[in-house]
Amino acid sequence: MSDSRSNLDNDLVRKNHSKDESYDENKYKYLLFTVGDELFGVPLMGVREVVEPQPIKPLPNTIDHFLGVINIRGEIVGVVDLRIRFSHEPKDSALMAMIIFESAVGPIAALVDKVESVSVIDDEDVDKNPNISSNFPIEYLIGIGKIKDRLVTLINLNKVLGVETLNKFRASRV
Amino acid sequence: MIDPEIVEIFLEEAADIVSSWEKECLKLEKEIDNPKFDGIFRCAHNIKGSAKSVGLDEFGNFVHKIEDVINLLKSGEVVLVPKLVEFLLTAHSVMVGWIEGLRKDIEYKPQTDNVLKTIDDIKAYVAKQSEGFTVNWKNFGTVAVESGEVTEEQVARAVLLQQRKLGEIMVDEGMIAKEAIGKILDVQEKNNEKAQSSKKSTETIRIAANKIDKLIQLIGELSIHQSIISHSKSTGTLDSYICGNAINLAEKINSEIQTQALSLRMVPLENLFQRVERIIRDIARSQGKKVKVHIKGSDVELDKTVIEQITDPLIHIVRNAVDHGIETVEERAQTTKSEFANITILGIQDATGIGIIVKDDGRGLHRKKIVDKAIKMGIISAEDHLSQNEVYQLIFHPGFSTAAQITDVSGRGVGMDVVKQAVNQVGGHLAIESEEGSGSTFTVNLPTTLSIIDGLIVEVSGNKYIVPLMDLAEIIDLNEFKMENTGSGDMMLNLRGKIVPVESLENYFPKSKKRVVFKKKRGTRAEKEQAVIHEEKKIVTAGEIGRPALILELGMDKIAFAIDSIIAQQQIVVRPLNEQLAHLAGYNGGTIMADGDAGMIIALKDIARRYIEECHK
Repeated sequence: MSDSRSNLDNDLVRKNHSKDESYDENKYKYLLFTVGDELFGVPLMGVREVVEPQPIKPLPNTIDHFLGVINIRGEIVGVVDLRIRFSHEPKDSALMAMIIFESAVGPIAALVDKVESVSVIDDEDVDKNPNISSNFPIEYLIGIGKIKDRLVTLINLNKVLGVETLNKFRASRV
Repeated sequence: MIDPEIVEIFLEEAADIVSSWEKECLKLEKEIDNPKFDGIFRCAHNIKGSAKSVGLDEFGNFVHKIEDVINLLKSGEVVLVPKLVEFLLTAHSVMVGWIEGLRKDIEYKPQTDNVLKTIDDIKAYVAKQSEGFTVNWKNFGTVAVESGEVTEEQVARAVLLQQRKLGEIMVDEGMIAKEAIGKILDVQEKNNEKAQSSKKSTETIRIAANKIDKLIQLIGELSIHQSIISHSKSTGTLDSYICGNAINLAEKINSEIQTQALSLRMVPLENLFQRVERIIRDIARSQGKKVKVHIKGSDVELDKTVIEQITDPLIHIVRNAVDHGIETVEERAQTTKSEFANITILGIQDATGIGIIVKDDGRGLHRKKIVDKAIKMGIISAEDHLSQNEVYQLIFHPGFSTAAQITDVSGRGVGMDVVKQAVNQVGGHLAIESEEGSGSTFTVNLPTTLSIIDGLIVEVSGNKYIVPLMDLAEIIDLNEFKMENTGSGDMMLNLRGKIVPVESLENYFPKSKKRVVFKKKRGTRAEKEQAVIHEEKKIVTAGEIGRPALILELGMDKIAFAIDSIIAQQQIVVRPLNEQLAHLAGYNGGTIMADGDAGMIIALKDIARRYIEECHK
């Protein structure tokens, strides 16, 4: 996945917390990725792995952004197209990747345009009550993180994906 | 200090011993005139020793006291009477509860007073007997009233107090505020939920050592062949005879490992049957019926999950058999049947899977009663002429019960439909045979294992799906039939005199408008070769069939599903779907296909069932 690594360097925002022993860096690590031109961040602890796009077996009667299922080493995992989910043009590129989330209902793969980096964003750099609207429930929004000159939408994607239902009832006879 | 891990091991062992304890009790009851106490004594002794060695002294002491009674029985100071078998079984129930409790909470301690009281009574009886008195068993309250110390009302109140929850007592005693109780209960509930869920993941299974030995041996063999193959690769002799041989053998060993690994989940029916026997015995006793239980084939093995799934249904079936099927002693006396009713529990294994048969020689299903009730409930009309089997199917209707009186054992009409559902859920099938006056037979047919099935790979609107072969009654070629319109736009055909509706599976699984985003890269040579191998392995059954249709049979109804084509028939390793995917309608499992892609198993039976229900509306 070296080709999808980004220009946002890992050590950009690392701070010296060695004095505070209770400080757990993992809690503030986020996986950053882009969908369209938007930069998102998800808590790294909710991510199982990042894989190359796998061949998808499409399933009918499902919501538009649910692409189908893939085989992750013998496990069957559903795939959500975040580009469609976040109303972006689904334009295929060589940098696309699938992020496998560990959700409450099992692993879920999310297709994104590009995986950027893993970055540490401390609480003080996160605006928890931003004045923006979002197209997913606000309780899953962690906040807006600030990294240098960029703003990152931090979101508990593993939780959002876990509560969405995939069946598209109207079109289905099943 | 009690080590939770060691207790875990003890509990596994104890559960086993307690189970043989039950078996010994049931044996004692059968041989009540000539009882042998060695078995049960050994059980008591083992469990006592183990409990004390892991620090569960209270448990150990409890068993020790029971052991005292067994000793009295062994020495002949007390004669084994049915009531004593009852006592030993009560002790068994307490121990089972205790073990269950300890699994969740290491400090758990059940109410043992009743059993201990009985033990004291028995000991007192023995002591008194030597003085020439006989004493009836009495509990503390009765004795207290008789001695004039307290009145009956006072005892009743004391008993009531005994049953109160710890929290209530604390509130009354002013130890704690009432509001705090709610909070504590919430925390407790959450904690217990967590305990329960964490319990699941550490579920253990006992496995015969020889199964593991075999597995280790196979894996050893496999690694030998694997090293031959990697050696060949490094020397560039992959095409050599030796290497080809090694690949073939590795393949064979691999499939053997698969079989062996799956057999690890298989456990004998013995424990289930024993539990069922106990239940039959308890109900028969409480209803004053005399029943002999015959058990055969308890060594037949079945997937552990399947056994867990069918335990409740099977218990329900035997309950019904004793409660409704078996006549009272007086009724039996009026027939030519012997005083003792017979219930046979049979485990059989054949090519298609496992069968569990519950057969009784009771009064059988009363056809007229069932039909009358069904008419009254509006399930059928009086003009309907039903075959014998169709009549039996009626008892699976939700809310159906012909029991004139509701007993606490069965007869509330919630039951047979749930039983059938549960059996269907594990891919099983429930059949009834019955003859009025001479008994009924319930047969539960189950697949041996849920993990590997024979599947048909079919193409529907350009997509590949898998259909379990066991769901299908037959496959026909629609070109050989003349299809007729039903008048509502649907199609039907005449299959050997039976009218069968034809549904196009395309309507259920339409072409997905989404693009298949990524085609598989078949870059390397090795991958290409692999693909060729899989291609060759396909057993193509299509070709001759122009327009294949899958015929499903559901009870009396048949339905045909038209598909594009049949691609292959092969063994499918079923992967359970995770919770998110399990909610997708129309599928009941997934698998990895030969080309490495994910595949979905169609729940064709559910679709057919829904279609038929829709038709009957």
